[in-house]
Amino acid sequence: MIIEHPLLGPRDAQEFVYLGDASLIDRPDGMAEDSVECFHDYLYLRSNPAGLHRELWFHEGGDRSWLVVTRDTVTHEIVKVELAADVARQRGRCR
Amino acid sequence: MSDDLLKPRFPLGGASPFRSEYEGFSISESMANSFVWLACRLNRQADFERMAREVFGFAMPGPGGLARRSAYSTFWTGPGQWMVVAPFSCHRDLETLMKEGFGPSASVTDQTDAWLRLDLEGVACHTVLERLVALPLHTVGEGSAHRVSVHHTGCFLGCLGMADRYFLLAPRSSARSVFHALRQAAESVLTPLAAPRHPPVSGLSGGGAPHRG
Repeated sequence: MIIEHPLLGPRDAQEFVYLGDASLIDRPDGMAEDSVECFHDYLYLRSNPAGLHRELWFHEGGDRSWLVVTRDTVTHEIVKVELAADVARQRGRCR
Repeated sequence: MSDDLLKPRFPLGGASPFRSEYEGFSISESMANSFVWLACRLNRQADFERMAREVFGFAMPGPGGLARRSAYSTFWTGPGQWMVVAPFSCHRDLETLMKEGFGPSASVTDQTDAWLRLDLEGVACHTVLERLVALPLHTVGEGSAHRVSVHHTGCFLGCLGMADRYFLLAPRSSARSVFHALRQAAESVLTPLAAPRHPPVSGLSGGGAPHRG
């Protein structure tokens, strides 16, 4: 499997480490009143789609950047690759 | 304490740098450089870029890039992060120089002694490297450097000449493993010019004190 790195171009999937669902970027506010329920959902509830799935990959054997990879779990086709830092900033995070 | 216990070893374990020669290819261990890692701090990019021009006289290279001028060379290692290389003889205190030059715009981490540097030379560089690293080598021309996996060990490969001069930085703690991988690849396709010599077994790859007796 080849992952098209946004900065470095096509790289072998062997250089990457898979973490999991990209929704891990949206860490709940630990000080909120409903934080216990939010963290329960954040930690334990994952959708397991047969189809497009956004997931976090770490370029461990490369530039050590985190990527958000949109992958079809049925065909393994990679539809989109973004830097996780850019995705986080789009969602209003400072980094 | 006797002096002989304090003699430093080279990363491959020898008392002198190691060298292997093949037809059209050579591997030379080098300890001639100081290294520091330079990282741009959050929201300091404008300051960082200005300081870089003042300190180095050039803009920091982009992804996969390597820039050189006078004593300094720097290469991109990740978003907002670069390795700075300078001759050890005249830049022994490279970390201090960078801290003073970049002020609060950058974080500086000394990397001297943390890496084994191997200089690879010869017309057969591609023949050997294409067996080791998953990179399209024709795109790794002069002025580029990439992080690569050599037998699952993260290394940096940089090109200093057209296609016949490269350097490979391997973590010192995995020095002998990476050297073994490189030599295995070379011996599978090239003829050694001398009978293969092995780095001393008693030396520790981590550069620890030599065994006695």
